[in-house]
Amino acid sequence: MLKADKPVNLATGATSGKRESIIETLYKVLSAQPKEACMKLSRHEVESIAHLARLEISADEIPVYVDNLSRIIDFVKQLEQADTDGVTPMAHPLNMSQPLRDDVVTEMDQRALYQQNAQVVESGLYLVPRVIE
Amino acid sequence: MHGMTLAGIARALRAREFSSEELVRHLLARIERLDGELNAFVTVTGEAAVAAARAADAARGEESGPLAGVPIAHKDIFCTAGVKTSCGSRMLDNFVSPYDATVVERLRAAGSIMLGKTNMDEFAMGSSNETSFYGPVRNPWDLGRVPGGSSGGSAAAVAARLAPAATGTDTGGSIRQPAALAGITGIKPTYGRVSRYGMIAFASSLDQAGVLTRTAEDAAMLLATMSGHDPRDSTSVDAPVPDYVAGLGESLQGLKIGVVEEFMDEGLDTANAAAIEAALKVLEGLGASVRRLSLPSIGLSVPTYYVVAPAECSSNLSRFDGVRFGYRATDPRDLEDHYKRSRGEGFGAEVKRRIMTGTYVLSAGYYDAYYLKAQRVRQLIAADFRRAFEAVDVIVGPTTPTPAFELGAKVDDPVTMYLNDIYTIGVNLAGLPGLSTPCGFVEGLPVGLQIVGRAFDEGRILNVAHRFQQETDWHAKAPGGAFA
Repeated sequence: MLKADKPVNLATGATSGKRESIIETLYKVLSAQPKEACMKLSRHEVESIAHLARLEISADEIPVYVDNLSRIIDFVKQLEQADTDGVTPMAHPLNMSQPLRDDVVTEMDQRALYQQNAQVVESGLYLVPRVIE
Repeated sequence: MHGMTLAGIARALRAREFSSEELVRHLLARIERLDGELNAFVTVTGEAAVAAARAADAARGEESGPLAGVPIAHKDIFCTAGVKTSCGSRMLDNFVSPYDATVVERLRAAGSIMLGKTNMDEFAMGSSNETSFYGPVRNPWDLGRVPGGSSGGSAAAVAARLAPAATGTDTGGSIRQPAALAGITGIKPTYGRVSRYGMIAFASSLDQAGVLTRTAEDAAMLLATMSGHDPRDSTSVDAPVPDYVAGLGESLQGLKIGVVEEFMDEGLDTANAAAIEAALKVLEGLGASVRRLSLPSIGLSVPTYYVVAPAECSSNLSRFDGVRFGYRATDPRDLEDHYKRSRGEGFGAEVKRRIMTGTYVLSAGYYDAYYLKAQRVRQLIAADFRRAFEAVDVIVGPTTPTPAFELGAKVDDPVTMYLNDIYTIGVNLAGLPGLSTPCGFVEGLPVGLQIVGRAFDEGRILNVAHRFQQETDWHAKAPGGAFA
């Protein structure tokens, strides 16, 4: 579906020529299997990412994440080819700076309202499993 | 009544051709009858809507604003006080927002009435509305196909005439892509034009609120109300909001249109391309000139996005800890088990995939190679657009590579799914406004035309779409059967 049968002619007359299409290039990257030796993430790496993200992942989900993440990482590796020497990383899409506001109280105390969304509260406190024995 | 545009409804209400209560009851009955098939709504706020409509009817007078008594739907990503706000996730299935998003507050203050909250991809992560905890939304043009995403419920509701308009959000194409696939109009404003306060965050440097409507005129009406500075969102821009409605109808004589050659190449479905080509002819007929241009770095926009968006998502979604609100796992062994299981059980597969990707690219040793590199490439993409806009006034091209695809067609292949947003993602990376308007059909399925403008030039892209819609009737076509 994504690939057209023939090059598209524009109203303006020019053809898109033989240049590889964006989707073609991306597909090429996608269809290349993660190179076993260098790119495929290990089971251990996936487990440690899950730990950093505090996500419980079941044993049978791990191979799926190994495959999906390896493919995504392989895909985004294309960025290496871009020449970005001397380019400042973007901090805001319109390169604007963040304004500061006066340090004054603007919120009122609505703890009781907010705690209606918590499942376990006691005496105005949010409860979690015991941390210190 | 359900076939009318928002502007038409506003005029009819003012002329008392029907009451807001009659209209709201009619639409609620339609939702009741048809939404079982579409699954466009997560929550329908029928009683509150009828009560608000009655109040609007009673208060109607000379000073009533254009949106007084006009029903709309809100994407379930916007916080609505006292109403469940799920973001399409099990994580927030039990969450009743204690406050209103600024967008919701402003539209309500202008008199609009909320019919309900629309279904969406979980946490707005998806291009097909198949990642929702509440199940997929179906496209009213073909129930076997997706409506696009992530604002798929809003798109389906508007296309099926269940609501005249709905709010949406767009991080990589989530308003424009479903608008294109559902045959309606959708606008994503400039980053900072509309407040993000109370809009559940996905990728904060890309997220922007907008609307899905039947016409550019309707979009102009709603956007004028939603836009403007909000001290509660530090990225909202303090700049005057033009009268978008008053700017409609201006001549396109002398308008310079750029066509991105990378967007019109072999990757674009041939039939889609023919529709885009025909649309350009219409615009030329209105006095615009068309020239081709290149955005040399645009090919890197999808990989750039799939570093930046997951990175920001992994950070934003760390707030879901199962303690203060949201899903909480039962009988945890300890605090760590509580966090891991609450998040592991509360989030769906795509959200977890993105959190994992983001955590990886931000982790020690990889931050420079992925995140900083992507933010550098993003500058190149934004610079391409800046250069282009020195030569042209708007950029026009396809919104999506193909019309709506079948349910399940891409669900197992995350990266192929990501390619659906290939023409829309660069616009978010550069923070620019973009709009999609219907411009034809391929085998009975709608095709969208994307119009991109300079930063804060929403007025111009709305006018280009409006003039196009005055010359064509693609936007006025309705799906068949019960949805007409």
